[in-house]
Amino acid sequence: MLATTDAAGTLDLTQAPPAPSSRRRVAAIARNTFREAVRDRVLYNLVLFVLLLSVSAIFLGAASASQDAKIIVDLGLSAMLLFGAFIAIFVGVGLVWKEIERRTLYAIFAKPVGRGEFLLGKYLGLCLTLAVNVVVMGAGVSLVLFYVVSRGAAPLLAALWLTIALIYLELSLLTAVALLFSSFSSPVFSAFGSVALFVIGHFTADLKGFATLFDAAAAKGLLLALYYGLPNLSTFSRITAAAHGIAPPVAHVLGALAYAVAWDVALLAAAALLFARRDFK
Amino acid sequence: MTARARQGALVLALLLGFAGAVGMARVLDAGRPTLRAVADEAPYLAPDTARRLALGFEGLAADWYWLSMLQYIGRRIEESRTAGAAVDQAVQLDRIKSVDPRVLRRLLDMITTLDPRFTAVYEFAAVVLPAVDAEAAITLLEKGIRENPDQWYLHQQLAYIFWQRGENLAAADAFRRGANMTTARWMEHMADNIEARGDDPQVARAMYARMYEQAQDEQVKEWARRRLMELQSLEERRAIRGVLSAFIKAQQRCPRDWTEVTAALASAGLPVSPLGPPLDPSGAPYMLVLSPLGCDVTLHPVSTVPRG
Repeated sequence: MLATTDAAGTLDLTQAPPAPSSRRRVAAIARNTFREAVRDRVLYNLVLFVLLLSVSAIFLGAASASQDAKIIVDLGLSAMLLFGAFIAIFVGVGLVWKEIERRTLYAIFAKPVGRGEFLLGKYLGLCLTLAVNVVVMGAGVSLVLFYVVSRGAAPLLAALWLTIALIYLELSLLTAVALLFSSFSSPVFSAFGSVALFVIGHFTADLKGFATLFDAAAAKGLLLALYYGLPNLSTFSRITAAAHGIAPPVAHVLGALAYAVAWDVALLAAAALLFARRDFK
Repeated sequence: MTARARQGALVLALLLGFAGAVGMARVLDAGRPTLRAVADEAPYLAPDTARRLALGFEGLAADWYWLSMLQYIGRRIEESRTAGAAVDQAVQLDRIKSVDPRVLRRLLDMITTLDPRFTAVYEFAAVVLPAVDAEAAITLLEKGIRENPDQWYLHQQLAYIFWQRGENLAAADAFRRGANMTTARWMEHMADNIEARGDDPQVARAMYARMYEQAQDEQVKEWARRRLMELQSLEERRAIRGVLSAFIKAQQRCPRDWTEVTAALASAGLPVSPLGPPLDPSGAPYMLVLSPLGCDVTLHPVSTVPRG
């Protein structure tokens, strides 16, 4: 039991212990979310990834007519994005739902934890899981590249890690999307909505192009509204260039970081607003 | 029912169910025509549509089509060989007539639309495609040059296609366009040489030597190396025939074996084995062919020099 003493040295046992700061509460939820993901064997996908890369490295040398390094980068980064998207969406939509289903949410909210803090903690916990995932996968791809291209791997590796940073930003955005959906709907609808947004997000660049084809201001306005109203995930797609050792410019990576942060903030704020209105009784 | 019996029944049901499914699949398959191998078909999607649908996985899709194309070409070379003959894919690369031009064109277009920077594809196309559709090869290389304005050696690949077609002026022009992008003066020299004497064997030798040096694709590199061997061997056989003619003129007969002309061959600058026979570029001895009509030189069966 904690107690405080005043300047006169009087012991006051009636005062309640100070509540942890908001940052510490969020960090505690994030830590627990990460531990839970590890317990749920989410990181087992890494085993599959390592197997995929090892087999590819062995067989591609003979089958790809000396394009093995390119194919390994393509395969490694594509698998990283795909596995990461699966985790972000399917684990992300279960973050809130599982707490409701197991009724642990009531115990959490009985403590001085805000709903927004809960969502932020869950988001950061899953982002941490994804960070571990992409870093381990990135290290795996780098090792295989060293095996395949013993010399001259440096430009490929530079391009690889900058592209991994972009993939991670895309995954953080997808996590926020999944969390937004799960803050107000069922897991099935949330998963469906998140997958749909992942697909549409890669088409949004075309919406801007289509807008130029229309003369009508209303149609043009609608397409542009859709373009700006939906995340443009092609901003983070640099896998094909990375496979040729072409690194995304640092200015692009910084721009993408700002874009992802802006979307993350907006999506988490929307999720917190919806979650605050949700009735758990 | 005990837990053990229930578990046994479930395992039995699993095995029976799986066996039944496999058996039914075989019965159903027997009643319908076999589908053609997917790799033998041109891609269904338009390349631009495929790029849009790739959702950021364009590179991986391009790799998939690249592997499909290599398998398709390899299979065609394998199928077109004469019974019992060994297949030398590197030598056959620019002589494959049995591929379906439509399939090859679509595959190459698909790969280069999904990944326009995949320069090994343009290089490969410059060697393989002209045998069935030279116009498509030129179009593809021009697309590659547009998409990769910093890759000067694609101009060299384009020049090769024109030179193969006997269009020496167009080949020289392609070399000059490439020369403007690089400090390597040899492209300018190649342009001058092709313009002046495009059919000269020395030009052919220089062309294949440059393709060998610049090739990114191992198959193309090997193909260029073998073409260089072929050219060198043709020159050597011409020189050997000269030595044989001189011997016949002096002796009024053919030499009984190589040892009678070893010294003359060596003085003509030809590589000669310590046992007497001249050696071809692959290191195999040339064969002396003696017949009632005279004597000639030919490649040894173990030689890896392309036979034309």
